[in-house]
Amino acid sequence: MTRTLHALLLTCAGSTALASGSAAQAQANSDAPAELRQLREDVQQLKGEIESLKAQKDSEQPSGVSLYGYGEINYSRLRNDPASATATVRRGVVGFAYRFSERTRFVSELELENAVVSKDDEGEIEWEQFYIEQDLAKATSAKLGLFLMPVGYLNEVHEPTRYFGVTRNLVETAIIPTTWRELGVGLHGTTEAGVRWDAGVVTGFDLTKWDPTSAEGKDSPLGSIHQEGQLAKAASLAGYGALNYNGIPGLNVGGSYYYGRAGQKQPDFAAPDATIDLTEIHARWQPGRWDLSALGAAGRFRNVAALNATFAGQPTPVPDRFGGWYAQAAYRLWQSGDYSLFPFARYERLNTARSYSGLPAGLAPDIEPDTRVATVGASFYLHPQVVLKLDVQRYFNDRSLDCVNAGVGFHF
Amino acid sequence: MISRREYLQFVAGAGVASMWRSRAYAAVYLDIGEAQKLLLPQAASFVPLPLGLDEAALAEIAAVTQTRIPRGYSPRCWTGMAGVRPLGWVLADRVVGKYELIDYAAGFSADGATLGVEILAYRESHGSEIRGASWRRQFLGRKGPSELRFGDDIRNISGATLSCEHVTQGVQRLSAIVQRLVAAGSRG
Repeated sequence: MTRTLHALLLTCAGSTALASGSAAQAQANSDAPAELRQLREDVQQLKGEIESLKAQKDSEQPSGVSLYGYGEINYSRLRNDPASATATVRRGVVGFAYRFSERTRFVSELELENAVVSKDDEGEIEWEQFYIEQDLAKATSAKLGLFLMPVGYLNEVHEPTRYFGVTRNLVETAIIPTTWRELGVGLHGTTEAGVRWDAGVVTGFDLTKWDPTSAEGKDSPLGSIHQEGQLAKAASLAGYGALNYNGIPGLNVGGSYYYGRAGQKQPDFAAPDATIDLTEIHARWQPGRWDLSALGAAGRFRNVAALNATFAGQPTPVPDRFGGWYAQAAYRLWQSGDYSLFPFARYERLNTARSYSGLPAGLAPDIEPDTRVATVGASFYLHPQVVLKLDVQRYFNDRSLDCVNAGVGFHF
Repeated sequence: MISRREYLQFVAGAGVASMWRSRAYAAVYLDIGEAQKLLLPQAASFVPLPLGLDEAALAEIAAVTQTRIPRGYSPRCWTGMAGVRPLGWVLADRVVGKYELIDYAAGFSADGATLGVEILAYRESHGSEIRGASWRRQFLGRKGPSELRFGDDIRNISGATLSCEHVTQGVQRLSAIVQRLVAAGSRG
């Protein structure tokens, strides 16, 4: 760049010298003084161009380091139980990225949940992402490391300013264990037609972690056995694929499929051939001020009957099937400068245990009815990157879970 | 035989364009010369046009577009010429997507209508769908920032919201600059 600048200035100087030297010859021409003035103006203009370019170069990020992040603070209270009111710094995430070259970069996100992490506190700190990305071609890249699975909407894009509701929706937390990340290798790319594709091989779930005495498996089957890149058993790997179509502005439709063995080849494990698969489809349409979306996900555990036989009488055996769906509508009711208001409504229906296998009659837990939840609220943006949220949730199956939530979120 | 003035204009154009071309990073899809030809194909040459955006001009652009002027804002502008007739302008700029810079260029006709948007370089993991023709086609024919509102006139791509929003705001600012050029031209 510097050499180019010097060469350019020398060229200009030479051209100016040439112009000046020829001025004497042009003296005989009655237009010479005017032409000389024009030449001087042109050189000044060129100098101005160079200064502007240098200023622009100075405004670039001085190194390859980028810093970004997001955070949210939540308040929640059961409608009929004031003593349940809880406020927490739900999460603070700082992202670091480093650009080694235009082809190679490091991307990471470090998350701290619920403010304090210690032996006696309930916070968590974890790497949410930690990978190297390499551009292989103009529209194809590869990732190597700990990265988010391309499943659903929230798993990859979950800043609080990017979704409606104080808390993330149940389907994309209980069925799709957002934020679901695995260690492995992934490829992704886009096509001219507006298709984005993803595929990869990653570490999978560890079914040996299933605790039949705990409610965790009922809250989120996959969330209770995820490994998150922490000393992950990698004897059994998994594969995934995802497709998204964005060829029509404002419309997205897509889906994903995950399959992996979950026994991890552990000796004496009762379900050595256990597998997990998760299928998901989604659509989002943003015509004008509307933001409409829907998603469905269905998962299966296979070959777990022998394992469940050892869990007989326990409250949380491994389900055969689990799944759910939601539909959501939001509307930009008002906007003025940086401020905007989006009321929204969402209906969700899910079940984390639709059926069991391997359990003798009378020893299997009752299949509970689907959880049905309606969430109604609003997001008020102080700025596109800062949002105030308020919503109420109604649990049709268990009104004691009805709650009011408030929160503030931001990203930078 | 070309005049000395034409020679210097050629040198200036080649030099400035070469500065952009010298940034031929691997993530670059187009250089500025290629983008100029795509955006104003009828132009035989492109002459750098210093914009001279002082604080008052930047404040006006911010007010008209209702966007913030990024730090170090210094878009580049070229007049597309067919002989001595100006056909329009090509402006190049950069905005931040989620955390990396996106280089892009927009072409405008002599009356200020948007002729196209080209993404020159995209450096992030996600959001590169903005390079797709269907998203960029939304900008065609729109004149002035009030016809380039994100969410209303220019629709989003789910999963690429930040890139869509910031490039749209960038094109709004370039369109506001072009409206000033059109007004200056009409005043003679």
